[in-house]
Amino acid sequence: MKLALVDWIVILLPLVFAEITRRASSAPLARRWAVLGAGLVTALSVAIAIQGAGRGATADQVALGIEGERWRALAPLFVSAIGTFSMAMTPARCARAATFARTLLVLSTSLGLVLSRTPMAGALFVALGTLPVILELRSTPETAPLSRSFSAYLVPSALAIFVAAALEESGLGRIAFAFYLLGFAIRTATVPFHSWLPRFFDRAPVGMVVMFAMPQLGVYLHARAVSVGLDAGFQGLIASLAAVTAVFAAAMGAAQNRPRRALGYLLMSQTALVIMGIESSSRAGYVGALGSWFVSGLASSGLAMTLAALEARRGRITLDRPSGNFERAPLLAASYLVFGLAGVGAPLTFGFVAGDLLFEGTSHAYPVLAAMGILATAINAIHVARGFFGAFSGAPSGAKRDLTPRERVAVSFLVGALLVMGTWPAAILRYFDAEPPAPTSGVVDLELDASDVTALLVVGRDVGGPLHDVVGE
Amino acid sequence: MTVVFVSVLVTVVAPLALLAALSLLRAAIARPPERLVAGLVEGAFGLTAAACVVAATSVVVAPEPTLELALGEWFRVASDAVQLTFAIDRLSLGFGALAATLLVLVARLSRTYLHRERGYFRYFFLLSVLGAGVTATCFAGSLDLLIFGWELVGVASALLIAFFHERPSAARHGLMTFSIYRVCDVGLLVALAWLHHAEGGARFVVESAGVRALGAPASPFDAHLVAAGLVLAAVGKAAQFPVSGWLPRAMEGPTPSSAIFYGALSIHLGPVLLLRARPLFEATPSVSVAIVIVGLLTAAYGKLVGRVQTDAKARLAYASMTQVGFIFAEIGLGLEALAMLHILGHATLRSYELLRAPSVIRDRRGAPEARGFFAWLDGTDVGRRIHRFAIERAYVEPFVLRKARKLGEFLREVDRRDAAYIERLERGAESKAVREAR
Repeated sequence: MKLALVDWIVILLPLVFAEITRRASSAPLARRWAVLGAGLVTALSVAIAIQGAGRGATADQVALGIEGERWRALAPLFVSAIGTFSMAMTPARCARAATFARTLLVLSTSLGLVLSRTPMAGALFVALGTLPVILELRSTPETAPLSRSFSAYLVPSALAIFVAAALEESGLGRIAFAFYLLGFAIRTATVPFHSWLPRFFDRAPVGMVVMFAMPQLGVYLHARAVSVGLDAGFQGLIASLAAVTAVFAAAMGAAQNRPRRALGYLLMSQTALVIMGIESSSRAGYVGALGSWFVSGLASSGLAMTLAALEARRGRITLDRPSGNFERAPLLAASYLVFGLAGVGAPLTFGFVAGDLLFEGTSHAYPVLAAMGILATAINAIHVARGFFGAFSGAPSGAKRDLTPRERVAVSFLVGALLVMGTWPAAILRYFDAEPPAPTSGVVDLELDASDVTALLVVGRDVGGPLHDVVGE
Repeated sequence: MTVVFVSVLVTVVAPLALLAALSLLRAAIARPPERLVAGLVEGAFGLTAAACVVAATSVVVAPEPTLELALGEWFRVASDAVQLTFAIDRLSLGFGALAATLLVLVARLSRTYLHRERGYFRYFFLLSVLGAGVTATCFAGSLDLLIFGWELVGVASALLIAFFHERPSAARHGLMTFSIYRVCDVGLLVALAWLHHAEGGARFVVESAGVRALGAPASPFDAHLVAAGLVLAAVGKAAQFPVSGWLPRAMEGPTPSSAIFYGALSIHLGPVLLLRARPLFEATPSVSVAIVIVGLLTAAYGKLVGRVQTDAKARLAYASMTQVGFIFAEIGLGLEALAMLHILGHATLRSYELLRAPSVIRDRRGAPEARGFFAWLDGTDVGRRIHRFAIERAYVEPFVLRKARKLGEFLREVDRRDAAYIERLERGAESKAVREAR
């Protein structure tokens, strides 16, 4: 792993603070240490992003230790901002010192992944990133069963990515591709490998859920490892699967009565839309997909944490009857709505611009898939509105408890970022609109066609052609 | 010419500046003073109205009937750029001036109507979002910017319908309106994406009857697809048959907002969109015919159902629906000038009627009675059937709601099975672990 000094600091700093946080005497104190640690990492990530913006737009090294396109210089900031926000918003009564410490561990591994240069290093961080989550789930009797379903999906995913990376480094790119695809499909909860995600959202501690799921690192891996140099047939296959997942998840989410489970489906749908855009074979679609990835990560984190804050005040909420929270928590309600609408492309937010580019770009090669994506976004918007009216309308009851000053600061930063990027999109688009992706170290260089996929899907049968080549390798 | 450009710039920027000012005010003060909030809104829209009038007066003496204000590039990806351009023509100036004037009047009326109401600030903020949305929609120089305003109006609309959020019906109706808007907006977004794909952009560059409009794509397939998408979006926003059910329910919000939204501005944005795409419909006669049919069907439906309503605001809602149906028919027949006049006249009259509705009810000491149909049909079997048909709103709504409910139940059942599968997986792993421990 050839990393610059600042990269190592960014990866190791959360580990140091994890140890300090673990030893904290109370949850509020632990939260303070955790926020400080994540905040420092965010500040360093800002430096990496600024440096990245000043470098060339080609596939050269553009930031401290970050290779490839310019947008990768933003990835550490994206991940650390989500981490800082999730820890600042986590209600102390819903977490323990150990939970904050493990969340910092997940932050560290996520940063390691986005800063890694080689496939093996990336795969190692993917595997390491699942361990703190499993440990956290096992630590309480309520979440212990969940650790089993989580492990049943995420451990094979990590293994598949690990095997793929090993095969890739051995020069077996074609077989590596199949393993990558399986690993990413599970990690991004693509239908039919999706069942773990709504359950995880519904039962796991929200801070941990946000840190693990919202950066959508499956998308990052997909953009780096799979999308480069693919044959059009493959791209169409992946984009079609993503479009089906987007519509399916949107419909499932809109029909849900449990808001946390619904949020899981929302993220699943948005992740699928991003993958569809990445495979759109157009620059506008690719840029729109990266923008949507950032927006959906930030906005969904905001949505999840405002929901967690609401549940900490009112207990579990269902959407089949009004909960009457608006008068009791108007700022919380406004935050929920802004985050929700930003994620589904509302005007004045960056989601509007990103969505516009994503669908416009996708329509060039896959007009039907673009229409499916637009439909999925419309259903997601209905889902957000249903969640808002369910959680915040109705006769007021209970004590008035709106956002605390700490929560206000965190929400203001995130809402401000979404609005500034929305009104001045050119500032952020310069990161995404670099030269087309070119294979560099750490990226699979594939030249496959659709017949290879067919062959890989029927492993075990006596087929000729590409499969034999693959096996022969 | 400079006067026109500066005036239009003020018109476009003032509502957005108002939104920023109100947000900062709320961030600084938990309960901003009522007078300050209302004063800011009235001032901003007063400025907008004055700027529109100045621009309109200057355009009358200008050598060209339509102009374009270009503020440069908003964003660019590779060779595709979205420009910040604004259309200056009789449609944008006329509708913009009317909208700003009505917003000032409604804001003035709302000062007392909502005095000491808990959601006072929220109401004025949403009114400002609506103002910003309507301004952006009618001055937009491309479909990209039009959608920006169009969606702002949709969000503000749903939130104002649910303004009295303690009532379960208000939230339900707000959600219903938002859902219909979003589903119909799929057409607009598909049209936009397709225009970028087929034509490389969606700017209003063709001049048609003194209005800057969208040109028709060269390929008939492209033209029909885009036209159909735009009609779908216009039908949803203008509450045309068969998606008109949200309009009477939208009257759940405060009366001043009902007047401005569903009497004057929001409901007419559908026809405004169609007028912006008139050359496209000239190239697609079948879509023009569809617009006429939809408009006339809506007019008949609104007239029929409106006669059995016993609620003053609902009756006015159906009357609005009927008139907008006629406006659709006029646009479909190519009578743009008549349609524009009809929009301005109807918006003004209907706002007045809706604002007067509470006073009329009080003067008459009670809600109006259903009018019924022709006297010679009373008591006959045909009369009863027609009455039932009107009360059931042509049976369309109950049918769609029943199907939507069934779909929701089906999806929840799929989700239950999925959750059960994961639970089995967890239990299976648990038993195995227990066995191993033994």
